[in-house]
Amino acid sequence: MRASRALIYVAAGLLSALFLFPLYTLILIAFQPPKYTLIPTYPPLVPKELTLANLVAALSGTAFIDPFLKSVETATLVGLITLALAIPAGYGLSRLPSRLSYPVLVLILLTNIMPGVIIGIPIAVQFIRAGLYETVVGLALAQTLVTLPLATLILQGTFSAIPRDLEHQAMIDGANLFNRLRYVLLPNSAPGIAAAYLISWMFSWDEFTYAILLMPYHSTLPVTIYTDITRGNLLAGAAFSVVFTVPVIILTYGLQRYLKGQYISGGLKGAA
Amino acid sequence: MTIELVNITKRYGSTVVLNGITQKIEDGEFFVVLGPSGAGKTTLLKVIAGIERPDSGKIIVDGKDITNLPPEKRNIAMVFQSYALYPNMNVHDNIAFPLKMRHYPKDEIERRVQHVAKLLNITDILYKNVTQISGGQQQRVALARAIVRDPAFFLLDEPLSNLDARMRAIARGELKRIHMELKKTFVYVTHDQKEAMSMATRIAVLHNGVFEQVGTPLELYERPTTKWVAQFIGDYPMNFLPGEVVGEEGFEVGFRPEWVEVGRGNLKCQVYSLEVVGELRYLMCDYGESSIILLSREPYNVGDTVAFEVTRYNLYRDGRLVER
Repeated sequence: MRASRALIYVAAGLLSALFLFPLYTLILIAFQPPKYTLIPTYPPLVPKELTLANLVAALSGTAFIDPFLKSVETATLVGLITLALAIPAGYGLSRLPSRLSYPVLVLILLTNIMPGVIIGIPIAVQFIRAGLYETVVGLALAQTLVTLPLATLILQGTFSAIPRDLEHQAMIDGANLFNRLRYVLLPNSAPGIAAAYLISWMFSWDEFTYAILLMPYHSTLPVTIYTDITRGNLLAGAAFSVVFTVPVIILTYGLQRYLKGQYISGGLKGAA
Repeated sequence: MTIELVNITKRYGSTVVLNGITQKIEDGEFFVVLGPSGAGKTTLLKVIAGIERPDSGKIIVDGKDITNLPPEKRNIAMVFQSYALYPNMNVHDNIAFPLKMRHYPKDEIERRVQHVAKLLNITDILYKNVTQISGGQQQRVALARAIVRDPAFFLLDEPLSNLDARMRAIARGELKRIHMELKKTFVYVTHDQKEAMSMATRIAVLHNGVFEQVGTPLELYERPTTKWVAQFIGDYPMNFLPGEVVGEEGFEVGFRPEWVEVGRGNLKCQVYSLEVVGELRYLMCDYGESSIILLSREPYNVGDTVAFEVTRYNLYRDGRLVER
């Protein structure tokens, strides 16, 4: 029993190391002078000398601050639009018999088959006409195309997991639809809602294709970091990439008490 | 309040669950709907509550047709089998919820919640989470939430089925006490005939989508109108033998285990199993092709041949009681 437990920890440790190694090298590059990172053929894997110079260089220009704010705005907007649409959609689907809701869910997910590059261009054309080109709202709407199906699936699963009796009880207790949502349905689906918001937010946070097509000039962080790195500003880019992960960590930490593995079960119940 | 069900019909696809139920439930009655699982008892309650719409028929409460009112406008209280406590609220807020939804003033809510909490002896768990309390406590909280306001009547869907045997007996008595205190109409659904017999003013036996018989517990026990009811009601089903055994040709004779005199008479059967309850013995016997159960005070053992005489009986023809 104890041995198998230890084995699980070892396996978990190895897996985490595998996933975290790229992040570790990123941190090495970001906080060390280039003579230990970019210049040697075999850079050392343990930090030799720490410096904040790269970060200072990255933060001293406005080059990264504007895109950072733009990314925050876009991601937050994507999260909110997604929830506003996916909550009613997920609720409606959860109350349909599964022989109806399942095909609909599959159909919704199929919309993500189309590569973003292909639909991004016609969207750009339409957005130029509609005045949404180069705007946060426009980009957020386009990114919602991808997040909405996922969020709908998650929330469908979440709402399905809430017993019908609970809703019936609320009706009998005199709650109208609005109050049922406010006091019973939404509070009890907080984990699913948090997961749906988080997944939408994070998707938008590092989304690249729509960002470069719909907001090519003053774009979000992923696009800006990309252009910077291709222009050779590798150190500042690395330093800022580290900063780039901070909001994701904060958000995940803040929402984790709602998660508790429900994100996965929420998704699976939707398919069942 | 009186509740009148007029020709209630409910189908799911091609399955007819309720097949034209017409029944008047009197004011202040403890009306038990009894039936085997899957008979449509819960569906009937949900129709009365307004959660399900009947395919046809009417529900009239105190002369007012409420068939088309949504549940939140019917002013009824219901306790679900699962209790349906709101997991996001503590005990206090669960009980206060129906009052809050009806915009009672804050101090009135407080007064009423404290009052029912005292009545049901749950004052000390008022601020606990509903997931942290025992099954018996959850059942009381659900009941408290139902009685905290003044509903027109109460609907209870097997509220005791999730309790262990001892708690169930206590809760049964408590429920009866509350019924007598509130003097309101209760409609209570159960599959447990013992529970029905011990609580009901009247019992309606639901079978094949209709009330096969409606009557007091004693009526149902002593004069079941069909063979099906006779075998469903009672700790042991009613015995049925050909009428010849009591000299009634062309009928079937139905009798309870205690309606016999064991140890005399010229009928004989062989014991194949027995159950001892205190100083009473229920003898399961083979009588020809049929199996019967007799109540005896004398000790008998498996394999014994027992002489008995039927002292009291009902006559049945084609599965229905023949009035005499």
